[in-house]
Amino acid sequence: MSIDPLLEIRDLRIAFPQPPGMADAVRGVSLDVGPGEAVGVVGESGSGKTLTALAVMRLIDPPGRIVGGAVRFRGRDILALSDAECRRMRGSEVSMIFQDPLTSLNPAFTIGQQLTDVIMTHQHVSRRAARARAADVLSIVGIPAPARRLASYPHEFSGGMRQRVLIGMAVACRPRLLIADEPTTALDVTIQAQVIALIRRLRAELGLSVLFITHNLDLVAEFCDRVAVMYAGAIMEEGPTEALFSAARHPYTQALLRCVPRLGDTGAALETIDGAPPPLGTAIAGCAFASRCPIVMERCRTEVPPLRPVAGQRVACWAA
Amino acid sequence: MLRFILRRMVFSVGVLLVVSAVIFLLTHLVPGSPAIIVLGADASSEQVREFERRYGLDRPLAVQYLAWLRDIVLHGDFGRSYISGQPISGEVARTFPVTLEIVILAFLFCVSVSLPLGIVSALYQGRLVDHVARIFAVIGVSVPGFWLGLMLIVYGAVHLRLFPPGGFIPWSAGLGPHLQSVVLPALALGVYYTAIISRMTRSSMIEVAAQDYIRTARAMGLSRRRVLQYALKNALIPVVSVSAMSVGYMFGWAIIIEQVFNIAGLSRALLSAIFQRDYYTVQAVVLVITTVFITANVAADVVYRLLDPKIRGVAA
Amino acid sequence: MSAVAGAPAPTVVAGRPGIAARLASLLRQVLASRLGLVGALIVLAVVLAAWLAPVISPYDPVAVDLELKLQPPSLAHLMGTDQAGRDILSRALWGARVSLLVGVIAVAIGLVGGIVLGTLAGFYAGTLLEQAIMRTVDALFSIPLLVWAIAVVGIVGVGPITLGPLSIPNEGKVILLVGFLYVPAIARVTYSVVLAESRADYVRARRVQGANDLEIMATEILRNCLSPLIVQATLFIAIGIIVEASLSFVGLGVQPPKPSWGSMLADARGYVFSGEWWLPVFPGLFISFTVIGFNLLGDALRDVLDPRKREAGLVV
Repeated sequence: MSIDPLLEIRDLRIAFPQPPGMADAVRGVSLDVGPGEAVGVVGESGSGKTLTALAVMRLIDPPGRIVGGAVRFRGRDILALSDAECRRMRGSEVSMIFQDPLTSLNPAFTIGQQLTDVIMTHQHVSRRAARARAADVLSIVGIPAPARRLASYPHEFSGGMRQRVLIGMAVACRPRLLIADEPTTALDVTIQAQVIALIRRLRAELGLSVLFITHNLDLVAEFCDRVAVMYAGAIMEEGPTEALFSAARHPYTQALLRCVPRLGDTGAALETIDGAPPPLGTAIAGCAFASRCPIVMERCRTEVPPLRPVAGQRVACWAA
Repeated sequence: MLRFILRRMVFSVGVLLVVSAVIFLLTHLVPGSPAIIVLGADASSEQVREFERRYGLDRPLAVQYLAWLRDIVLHGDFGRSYISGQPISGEVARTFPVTLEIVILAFLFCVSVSLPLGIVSALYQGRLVDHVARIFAVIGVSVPGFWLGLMLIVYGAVHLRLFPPGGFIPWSAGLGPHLQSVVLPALALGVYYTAIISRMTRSSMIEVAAQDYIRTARAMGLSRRRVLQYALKNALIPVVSVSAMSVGYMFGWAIIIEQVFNIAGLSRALLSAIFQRDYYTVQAVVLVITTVFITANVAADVVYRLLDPKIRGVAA
Repeated sequence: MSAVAGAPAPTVVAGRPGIAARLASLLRQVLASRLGLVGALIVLAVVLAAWLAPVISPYDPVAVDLELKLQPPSLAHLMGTDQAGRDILSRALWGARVSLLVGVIAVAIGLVGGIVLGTLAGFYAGTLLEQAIMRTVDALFSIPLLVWAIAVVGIVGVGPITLGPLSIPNEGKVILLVGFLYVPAIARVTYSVVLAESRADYVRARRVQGANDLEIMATEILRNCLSPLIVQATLFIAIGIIVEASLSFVGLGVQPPKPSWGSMLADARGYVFSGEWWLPVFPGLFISFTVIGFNLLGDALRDVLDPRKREAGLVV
């Protein structure tokens, strides 16, 4: 763990009602993000990574609920903040961008209005100053003719440009932490690279920390300092990117890495992991991966393995 | 955008022409010449011929139709009623503003109640206010307007004596009495569409609130008021359009409701014409109401396109 | 506005359950909701009352007995008597027959016409046929059909239509006109469904298997239209009942002495001030409850069958 982490998540539990009781979607996630760090969270759909991010933003809506654990940002207890404090935090200290740029901007307002709104919400400046700043933001994220484009509506932009606008909105008020939930999944590969490059540049220029959520291991490899691998609502393994990729200790991580085809793989069948992840909210005894693990032991089915430090990484596996 | 409006207007004029031809044919192909209606069954063929000549009924049908159209379009003249001998345009001019006023009042009532009700129902979805609003909406959509009017008369006029039991008191008799005479009819007319539009507002708000861009707005820390405005601007687009359309439909129901309150609006013109077999007046009133209706629909379409930036910029 | 991914997906059912099983499941789901249950019970009660009217009416609905006129509700006459001494409860029960008849048959006509037009237009999208049909539908939507129904019945007259040995009473015209009113709305709903479905892969697969157009239209595509149409049909029955009552109220619907809720209310108009409250209240309550029942049932059906809420929009 880095000294004085920017973001500390400890044993976070999120549940939602599933008659007759509640179902766990996130089961005790603990993760830190240090200042200036880029931490990746990888996992399949339904692994709880988005929910974890939303919890940091206090955007978990009823009927879902945070039922346990703590989240601290710059030492402050996020879970104890009032609604007004949360609104002040969002967009100015912690920002989040989402997966679908095509639907994430309000079609009835110009992007100038939307940008200006964000700026004026968090900074006490006149509308004119805010508009000027908005134009600055547009040029920072690489939108040509920024002043003129303020009057454009979202539908006049391509998906990649809209994601840039959204990134601009997110960093306009200089947050410390940017949470990016699959920011490139809906984009073409070439545009993906541009967006990643943009985030990387902003990170360097603004000293941003980034919590990068994705299911794409390649993106993680090129962008993140550390990686956490989530499965069925829990972190299976976490550690520095290099170490994790070269010497993964958790059977799930190992399987994931095997699944990614590499240049040079000749003709062999693509690897898969048998079975499917448990649907969100299934009650699980023991290790969540037990039913698909190639080296499963009896103990795995009954006792949940804790996330323990093993050689510079943290692993949740009885066999590590 | 302009091209769209033009296309719509051309289409509407086309529909009006077809419609005018249909109503013309209907009134002229009915067995029994108007001459007989007016002069009686034992009128001599001499008298019938004279009558028909006076009203131009001896010309070929197509000629009569075109002459009728020409008079309407060029002179605003709907011809003469062969029952009363008076110009029909006069009757229309006298009765149309009455119905128009009641419809406008009903519309204002509708919009001022249904929008807030729908928005509040959406914001407090599942809570008491939502359930109560839903019950009112189901009742409002199910209770026939004319019965509601009757009940309003029984309670408002007979029991409480707050309102006159019927009849339209013109402005000249004083603003107070005038308003008193139109409140109940407007209410009876507006309740149905209030129910419909409030539900529509609610479901539109709920749908918009679930959209990604509202999530973005919240994630960027915008104030609750601003997020509401973000939602409303999108949610109200279909609502405004439907409200405009409902004005047209209200003209139809006003026919029935005016009868309950004995109001001398278009319903008087239409229904008494029907029962007196004064078909030319029927023709004229139907055409007028149809024109209003089509106008309301075109307006609704135009407004919808003006409000939605995605469509506004696109060439029709 | 839930950010949670949602409950686990339901288990997939292999194969397609039979019609009876699907209907039973549908019924169970509708009755599970409180309002759906209420609506279904009301509809059942009204249907039974109408069907059994000849059996359960305490009196002959048209039997005049001036001695008994304007009696308040009593044990002998649970809802009192009207101005001709006829028992109001009996008249109301018989009135249910007409209202339901008009409501159901009109909807049937609307369904047939609308489904045919909508399916043809959607299936042959991009052709002149589609353009012609949808333009006509648009034109029909531009016309205030209630006003035209009033005018047509008014002009043609309220007498029965004789087709050889058959004498169809005025309600027949009302049924036709109301059915006509429904056609464009149903055509639009069907069109949008068919348009989407006809491009689906399973349709292409069937075509490759050798099915011709008619077979595909009849089986696969219609199966998908059923859900929104069932909802629409139920709601339209409600509308039809109100339209029939309104037309009868102004004298253009069911002709006296045949009992109809609307004409009973027309009779009641004259007694609003003299305190015979049972004349307007009971028939109105019958209409309101019946319509509420159909609306609740329709809403519950919509919640179960058509969560995407493919609406027909304003019709009347």
